[in-house]
Amino acid sequence: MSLNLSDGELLDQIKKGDEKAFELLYKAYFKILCIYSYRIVKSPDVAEEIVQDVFFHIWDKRKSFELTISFKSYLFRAVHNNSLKYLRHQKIVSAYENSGFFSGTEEVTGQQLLEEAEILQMLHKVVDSLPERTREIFELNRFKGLKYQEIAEFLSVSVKTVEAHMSAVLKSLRNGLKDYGHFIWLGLFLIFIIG
Amino acid sequence: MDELKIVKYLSGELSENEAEEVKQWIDHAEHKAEFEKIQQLWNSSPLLKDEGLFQADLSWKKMKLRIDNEKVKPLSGIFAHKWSYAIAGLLVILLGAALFFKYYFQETAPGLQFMTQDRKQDQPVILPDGTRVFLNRYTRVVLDQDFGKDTRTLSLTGEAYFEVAKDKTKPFIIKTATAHVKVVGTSFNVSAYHDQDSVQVAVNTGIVELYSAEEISHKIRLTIGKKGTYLPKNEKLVSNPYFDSNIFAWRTHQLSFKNADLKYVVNMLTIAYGKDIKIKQVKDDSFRWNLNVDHLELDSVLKVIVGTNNLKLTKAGGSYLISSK
Repeated sequence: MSLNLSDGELLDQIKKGDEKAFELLYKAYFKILCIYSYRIVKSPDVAEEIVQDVFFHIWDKRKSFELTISFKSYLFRAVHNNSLKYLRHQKIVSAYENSGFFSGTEEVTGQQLLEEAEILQMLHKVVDSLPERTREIFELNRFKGLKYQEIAEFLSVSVKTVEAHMSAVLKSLRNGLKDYGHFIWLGLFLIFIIG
Repeated sequence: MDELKIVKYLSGELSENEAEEVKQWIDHAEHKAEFEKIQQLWNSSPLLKDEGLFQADLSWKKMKLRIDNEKVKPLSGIFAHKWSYAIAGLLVILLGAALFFKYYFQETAPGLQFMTQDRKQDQPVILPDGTRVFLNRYTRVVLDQDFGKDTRTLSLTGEAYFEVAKDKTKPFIIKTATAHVKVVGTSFNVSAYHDQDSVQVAVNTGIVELYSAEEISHKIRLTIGKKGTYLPKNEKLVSNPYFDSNIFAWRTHQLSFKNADLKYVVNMLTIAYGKDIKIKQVKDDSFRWNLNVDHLELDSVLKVIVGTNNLKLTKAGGSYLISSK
C-alpha cells in the first residue's frame, strides 16, 4: 500500500504540529537541497547546516507559516538565498559567480530556480532507480569522465556491455522525463511511502 | 534514431560523421524539445556525484534534537540559588551510548540543556550550582527540572568533563542511559566508552558511587586510583586500579603511547580527534609505538604513525584510511 500526500497536504499537517509530516518532507528534500547548496558553498557541513536552518525555520514558525509560492520553490529559494548570504559573509561571492555552475548570480528568477530544482529532483530520482551495475557504469562515465573503452577495461566487460548499460540510462532519463511531465501537469510532487 | 547513438553522442563517443547525423536528427522540430531536456539532465548529472556526502536519516536525528530542544520548558527560580564557588578539583568524563548522534549545539533556555555538534566546546558551561562542564563533540547535557532542589541531577549523552562544585547537602548525580554516577566525596573522573558498551568511572580523589540505572542498590564505591566499569549487558559492576590518561585527550590535547599497538593508537586518536580513522589490510601489526602527542594536528600525528612503520595514509573527505604500502 502506498500513501501519497502532496507537499501542500503535508504542510497543513505540519501546521498542526505533525512531526511525522515534517520528517517526511525533510527526508524527501534533504539530499537535493544539500547538493544544491553544496555547489554554492563548497562545504558539505555548511550546506547541511543551511538546509537544516531553512527547515527549522519552517518548524519554528509553523503556526504562522504561509506561502504564496509552491513549497518546493520556497525551499530552493530559501536555500539559494541563505547559501549566497553565507558566501557574502565569506566574501567569495565573486569567485562563485565566475565559476559558471548553474546561474550563479543573485538575480535568479523564480522560474529558473524551479527549473533547476526540478532537474535535480528528477535526476536524483532516475539515477537512484538505476540497477546497480548500470549506475556504476553511468557514474564512471559522468563522474570520472571515463570513455566507454576505459570503462570496459576497468570492469573487465565488453564495450558492447557498456553501451547497453548506457543506452539503458538514456531510456530511463527519457521515461523519467515523460513521467515528470505528468508530475508538473498535476502540479504535485508526491512522496511515496512503501507501507 | 536508436538510443545507443544518442547516448554515445552525449558521451562524445561518436566520430565526426556519426555526430553530424545525430545533430541533424536533433534539429528536427519534433525531437528538439525532448533532446534539449535530456541534454540538460545529462550536463547536470555530475551534481549527483556528491550525493553520498549527505545522509538524510542522520541529519533528521539532528533536526529532531533541535525540535525536541524547543519543546523543553524553561526552568524558573534556579538562578536565584546561591551556589558555592568552592569548586573541588573534580573531573568527570562520561561517554554515553548515544555518541553516534550528531548533536546540535544550541544554548536555549540557559542552564537547562546544552549541546554540541561536530565541534567540542572550549569554554565550559557553568551550571546554576557553579559546576563547570566542558562538552566534547555530539554531546547533550540536560538538567533535571528539580536540579539544585534536593539533588543536582542531570542526564548526559556523549562526553563531558565536569568540575563539580562542592555542596555536600545536594548530591551531584549524572545519569546515562544505563548507569548513574553519584558524587559522594569530592573529586573523581568518569568515563564511559560507547564502543565498549559500558560506563567507566576513574577516581582521582574522594569517593564516587557507580550504580545501575535500573537497580539503585546495585552499586560500587570507588576510591582514589580506582576505575569502575558497568556493563549493562550482564549488569556487571567491576572495580580495578587501572587508569588511562589518554581518555582525557579530547580536552588536554595530550596523548601518550607506550608500547602501544596500532589498534589502540588508532582507537585513541579516533576518540581524541573525533575523526573517522580506519585500518585496512595492514599485514604486519606487530609494530609498537612509543609516542607522546602534545597539541598536534591529527594529520601530523598520522603522518608520523604511518611513517614509522612503512604504512600508507589515505584521506577521503573527513575520513582516514591506514593500510600497508
